[in-house]
This record gives sequence, structure tokens and C-alpha cells, in this order.
Amino acid sequence: MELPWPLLAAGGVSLAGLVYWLRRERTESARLRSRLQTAALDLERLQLSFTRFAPHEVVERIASSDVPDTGERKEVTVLFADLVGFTALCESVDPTVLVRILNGYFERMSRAITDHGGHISTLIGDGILALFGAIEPNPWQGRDAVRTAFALREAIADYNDELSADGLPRLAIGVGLHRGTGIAGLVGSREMMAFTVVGRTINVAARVEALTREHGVDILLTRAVQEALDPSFKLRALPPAEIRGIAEPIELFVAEHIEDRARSLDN
Amino acid sequence: MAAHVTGANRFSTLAALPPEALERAPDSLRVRLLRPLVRRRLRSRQRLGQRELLSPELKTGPYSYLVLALDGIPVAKNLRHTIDAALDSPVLSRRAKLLVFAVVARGMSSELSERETARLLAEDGLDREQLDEILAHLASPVLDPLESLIVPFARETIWYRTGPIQRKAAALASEVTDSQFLELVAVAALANMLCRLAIVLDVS
Repeated sequence: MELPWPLLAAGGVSLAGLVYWLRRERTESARLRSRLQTAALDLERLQLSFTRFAPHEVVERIASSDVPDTGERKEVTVLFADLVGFTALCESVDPTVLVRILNGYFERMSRAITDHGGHISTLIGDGILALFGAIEPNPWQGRDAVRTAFALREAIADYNDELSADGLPRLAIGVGLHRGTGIAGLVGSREMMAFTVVGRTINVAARVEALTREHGVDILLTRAVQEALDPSFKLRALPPAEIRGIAEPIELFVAEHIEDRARSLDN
Repeated sequence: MAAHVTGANRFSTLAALPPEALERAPDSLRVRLLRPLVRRRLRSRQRLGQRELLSPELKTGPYSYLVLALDGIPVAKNLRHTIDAALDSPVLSRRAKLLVFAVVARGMSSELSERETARLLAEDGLDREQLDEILAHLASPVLDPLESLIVPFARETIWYRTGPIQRKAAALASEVTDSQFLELVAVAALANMLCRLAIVLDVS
């Protein structure tokens, strides 16, 4: 039976319309997917950029609008490190070269700190304030912090070989460690904030670091850090030191080296 | 779901599985052709399910409190079998695997998981005092050479930091056999998943 031509024409038009509609939907779907991918990439780049200024865990919490507006009291281990003779270095080296040296120094210090579970809270000139246990709980923060100090020592030694090969001055660091409670949180104004810890623990760590010059050593730690270490950490006790602003003398230990009982992945 | 994602994340991160192939998969011709069939199959499973209660022999065993908390849904049985298979696998010793669980439990402050793991380790001859020393320092004279590598590595898997986690995994992979490394990755992923599951389910 032959179909009447109007029916055929209507069927053809409907089919053409369906094909047109499907193609348009597919084009629209591809366009939306492309926009979504672009937005996702932009967000990832933005978050990566922000992690240069704050630990990525803090950035993620900010991104999800989950930032506590009050601090949290936490048990933390604080590591202070800075360059010995930095002021003299600033005056003796061309500014461009100085920045290059500093950036290389910060890159290596940063890697050693993050590889051992620490977070860099602040960079002040040549000084580094690193925190252990401030963001996530860390029952091994003392061990991590001291291993970090040893890693910093190694990193500086390696970096000095590169600097010497380029005819540049060699660097020396002083590291101070202390453990105690502090208030952790985002501190600052609306325009400028930093994730950090405030409190006496920070002050003591800074003072201990300064004492490395007086004792001619590179790594000093307090009894509060020493208590959590096992015998493989070889320490040398010093006489208790008076620290400005602290009523009682602080017991100090020089961190000499680690005797690993077995091969370790930390070195 | 969160626990499962953590486990899968640890597995893929520790093994440094390249993500590009997986991310490109939805756009491949094969996947696009199969998509309608897969969609139909998934929708057929979304009908209201019936409770699947555990048989008596599946209600006991290591970490049974987690399995029982999920009793009634199909994943409970799978979880039981997964835990048993992981601990029974001969590539790494049962003690080495339980030490991974213990380190993760301590790192996440999961007292219940740590207590259960301590109980299981005691059956393997490691007493609580020895375990406390291991967990305090991630080292101990009672650990054999392989365990001395595994124990500190286990704590690296707890918090997600891609760079450090993969650097340590690569260093470990060069010290152990391939099968030991793969088993360790799977056990670490499972340990992280179970600890988080205990927290999410608020099991006590």
C-alpha cells in the first residue's frame, strides 16, 4: 500500500527535526562539559597557588567555608631555623644573587620540613617557623621535628657543595626545637592572614634557636622534645639555660645524630 | 562512602597509578557506546533492596565490630571477606600487617581500632608493652628488618600528602619485592579505610 505523500512529508520533516534536535543537544552538552572542565582547572590552579601561602589542608577548609573563627588549643612541636651570619651575607652579596641563594635555601628547607610531616607557618627574612602537630594530630611530632632538623643539616651540606662549585658563600643554620601547647588558627586581618600557632611555646623555640650561636652548635632542643625520643637519637645534655621571659631555667640538649637500628626511609 | 574513597585514594596514590587514563575513560568511544547499557543495568539495581543479614560465622573475627555495624547491607559480607583475606595472605606476615593497622590507629587516635589490633597482635606473641614502644617511636629492637621499614612507612599513609607519600613509597618499593610492596599498599589502604569507617560509624 502506498503511503500518501503528506504523511511521507510529515515523517521526513519530523525525522529531520529530531536529527537537528539531537545534534543541537550534543553540541550544547559538549559546550557545557568544556566550561565545567575549564572551571575545574581554574579552581585547581587557584588552590595550588594558595598552597604557596598556606598548608593545603587549611586552603581546603577555607574553600569549603569551614574555617573556624576561633583558635584551637593544641600540643605542637615548634622548629625555628635561620641562617648564621645572614646580615653579613646580605651586605657582601649582590641582591640578585642573594635572592637566588635564599630561594634555593628555602626550597631545600621546605622540602625537608614537608617530607617529615611539618608545616611551614612563617618565613621571616631568612627565618623559618615550622610546626608539627598543628593541623592534624601527630603523636610522633617530636620524632618528626628532630628528624627534620637532621634533614635540614644534610640539605644545607648538599646545598653548600653546589654554592661552592658556583663560587658562592657557604651557609650555616641554627635550629631550635620546643614542644608545648599553643593556640592554632588563622591569625591576622581581613587583608592578610596566616595559619600559625601563638603562645609561649613559640617564644621558647625562638630563644632556643638563638642559643645555638652561644653554644656553637647547629641543633638545640628542650627537655619537652627530648622526652619523646627513643635512644637512637644521640643527644648531649647542656647545663640548664636562663631564657628571657621564662621564670625557670630550661634544660637543653644538643642533637648530634641518629643511630638507626635498621635502614630507614627517612634518610 | 568516605571510607571507601580513602581506601581507593591511598591505593592509587601509594602505587602512583597515573590518573590520566582513568580521567580520559568517559570520553573514549568504547565507554560512550556501552554507557546506555551500563546505565540500564545500574538502574535495575536501584530497586529497593532487601536486608542481607550476616550468617553466624561472619559475625566473628578481626574487627567484627565494624562488620556488625554494617550488618544488613551487602557490603558487610564483603568487608568481612576482605579483612580475612588481607590478614590470611602469605606475602607479608600477619604480624607485619597488624603493625600497619596499629600505626594507622594510633595516628588517627582511634582507640577502639588500636585496642582490637593490640588484642590480635598479642595472639601473635607481641605484648602490649612491646607494642607501646613500637607505636611511641615507630622503631624497636623486637622488629625484624622488614617490619622496621614497614612501621615508619605506615604512618606516612595516614594523612594525604601526595609528594611525601609517593617519595616514601618509591623509596620503600626499592627495598622490598614487588609482591610485598603491592600487599603493603593494599593493607595500608585497608587500614586507613577501617579506621575512618570506625570514626564515621561512631562505633564504640
